[in-house]
Amino acid sequence: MQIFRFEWKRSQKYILIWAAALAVGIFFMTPVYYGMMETAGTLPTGFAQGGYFETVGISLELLTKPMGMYSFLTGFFIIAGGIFGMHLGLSLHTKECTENTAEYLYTKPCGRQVIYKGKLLCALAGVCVTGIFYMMASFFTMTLFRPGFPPREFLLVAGSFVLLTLFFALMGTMAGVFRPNNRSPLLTSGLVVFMEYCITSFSRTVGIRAIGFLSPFSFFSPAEIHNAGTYSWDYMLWYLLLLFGFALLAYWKILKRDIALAV
Amino acid sequence: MSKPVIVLNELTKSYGKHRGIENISFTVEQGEVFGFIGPNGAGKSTTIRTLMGLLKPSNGGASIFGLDCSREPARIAKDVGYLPSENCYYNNMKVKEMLFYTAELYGVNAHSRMEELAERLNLDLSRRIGDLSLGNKKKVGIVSALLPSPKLLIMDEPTSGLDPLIQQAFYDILKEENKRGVTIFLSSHVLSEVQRLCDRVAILREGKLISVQSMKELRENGYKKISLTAKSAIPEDFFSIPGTANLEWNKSKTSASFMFSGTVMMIMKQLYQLELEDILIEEPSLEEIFLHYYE
Repeated sequence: MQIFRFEWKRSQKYILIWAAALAVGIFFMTPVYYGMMETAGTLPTGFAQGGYFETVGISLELLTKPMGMYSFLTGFFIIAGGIFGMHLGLSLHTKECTENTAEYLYTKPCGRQVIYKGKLLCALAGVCVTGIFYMMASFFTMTLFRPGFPPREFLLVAGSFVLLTLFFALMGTMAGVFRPNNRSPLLTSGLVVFMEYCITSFSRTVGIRAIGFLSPFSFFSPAEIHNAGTYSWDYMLWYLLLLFGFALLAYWKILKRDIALAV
Repeated sequence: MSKPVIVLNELTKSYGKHRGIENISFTVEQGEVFGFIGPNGAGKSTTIRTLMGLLKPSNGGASIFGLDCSREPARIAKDVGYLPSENCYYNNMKVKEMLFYTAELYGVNAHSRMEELAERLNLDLSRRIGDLSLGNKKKVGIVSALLPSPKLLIMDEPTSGLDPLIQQAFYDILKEENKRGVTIFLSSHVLSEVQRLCDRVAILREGKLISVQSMKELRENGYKKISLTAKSAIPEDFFSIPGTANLEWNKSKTSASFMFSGTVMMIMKQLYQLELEDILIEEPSLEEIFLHYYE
């Protein structure tokens, strides 16, 4: 627990700033976007039927409902959440190398396993805090401005923010363990998350579902959640496999590799 | 006879094209102060980092307290105080916070020990590590290594950056620790430091072990430093006798100095042929012996 406590203390400000920023963002942006629901039908035909909304996992019909508008907005907050998650997971490992503290930490009696677990726990705690902030802010803004939303659908949509942040946190952890000398973790996170987002948009545009397996954004399509009332089981299975894969690969690697000492 | 504390067995670490260390084998006994000397880039830090489990050996192996360094570094670390060659501490923390964190990681309560060591090394515990000078950061490392009262101290270039007064305090602390039974393994390229503290030394060159000798053997390996001045120029091949090394002449070839490892009678017979003005036969300094190994 010492490692977790230390890492948490080291990262808590960063985590809380992100969590607060995302919560404040969704709280204030949701009512602003509600105002656009009435005008959804008046969108230029070319824009409305050009497939744009499909690329973000929303149908035009869904966009006229509060839950649909919240989903549309959450689609963008998920990108921010992904960048936060990946950057947190990545930097927890890379900063030991870039700040030249690895030689201190990895020669202490706690050992690599405990260090890995402590850092992973810190990343998970960061995801939980951000997720709780986001879900609470979402719940309050929806209750306040458009009460009577379907709670199950809300949980699934808001939950996709948490699950995607978690996915990228573990992906970042693995990337940090494999490349601990990465000096630009934020840039890397931004690029990876954006690239993943583009893959999902592409898979939705060309209509090939299999491409969606390459990007976690595809796993949580608001339109599918709205229609089926649940996440797709095949995507979920793949999601869990990847999640455990990232965690186990990182664990295996950290036990085997030489510790990168300084850049 | 006590078991050796450190055992290196054909330890090899290679980094692809870059040179690492090759087939290093030696042992360090319980209670010994063992020096590890060599110029920069000889592989001292690589060897130490492999001992500390930071690097995985490419071949061979090493053990500390009978435990394999690459498999059980955490168990080994419980009884080892380690001072890295470079400062690797959390710059945002205050010295006291970092030392408490170190004590916590070792599971010891070391408040009084921390105060005592900080006082002896003149270290301000209330300052932020990032604001400290190189020497003060080194002191943080020394206190951090000594804090858990380890059975083995591994120190990589421990005195670099320390002023002479603090160096003296540090040597005193090391001597006290050694009296307490602590085994000390220290690397250095400051030979006077090694000469002062160590019982035995391993000499490393370009990743290979050149020799392991006691300090006594190192000084008594037969080498004498001879400096002489003759009345007339000395023939150039005059000292082409076995055991002569590092021969240096003055411009007029009337003065020469060299290292000699043959018998005294052999050199005396040779020198008898010269009309000498002055001669000085002395023990070579460790630096000179050391340089000889690098020829």
